[in-house]
Amino acid sequence: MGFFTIFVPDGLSESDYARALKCSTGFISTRRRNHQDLLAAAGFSQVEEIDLTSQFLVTQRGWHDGRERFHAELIEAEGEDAFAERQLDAEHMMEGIKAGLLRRALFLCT
Amino acid sequence: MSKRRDYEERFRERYGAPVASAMLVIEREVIGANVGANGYTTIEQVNMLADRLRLHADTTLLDLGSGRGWPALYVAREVGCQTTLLDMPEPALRTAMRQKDKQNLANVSIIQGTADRLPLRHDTFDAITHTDTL
Repeated sequence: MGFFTIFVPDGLSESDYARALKCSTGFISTRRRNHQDLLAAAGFSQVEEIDLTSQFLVTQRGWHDGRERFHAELIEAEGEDAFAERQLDAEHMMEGIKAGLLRRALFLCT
Repeated sequence: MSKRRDYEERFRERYGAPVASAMLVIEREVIGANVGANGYTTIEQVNMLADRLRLHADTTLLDLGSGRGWPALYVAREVGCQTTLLDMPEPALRTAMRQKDKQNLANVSIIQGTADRLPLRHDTFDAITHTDTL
């Protein structure tokens, strides 16, 4: 099995954990258990984690900045409130990534 | 509204909305191609995934939470493996079906369902993928 996922790193304080969930804008509603443990508990072995956090920031910024560039067309298509909400979500997520509160990785396991 | 229904509604809305032409331009810049993507998985990352899972024309692949078909349809086209897409939101599955037909991908099946109640037998697939689903 191979999967990409966004997650909160281990070892955060309670307040940072709460901030991380907020920054994830609904992408994460997880319990505090890391993927390595979850996969092992489900019977998977040989778990490999390939960190993609820096690329995550690049793609998130790409979507955000691209949408900003075409804001007139997108506001017409989505409506002003929805456009603003999506941009704000992206900004929160970028803040979370830069603060080390959100990570993204490719997990491979058998 | 329950959390599950809330998510279902959210994804139904997201996949049901028409894609503005500007989004296609942005997608090409961010993802590397126009493949119906709206997330964070680039072409380069999908190629790495396919390579690391050693997918080839004789393998069978299940993509959970397939959405509109990115990256599963791309993998099916590039690798040629027997690929099954599974997700819940009907608008997403309809888009995936249109893309499958448009690209003549006879090696692709599309099923409506959820990962926690798979409508499939055990040991049906050689590989499973999912993209920002969990």
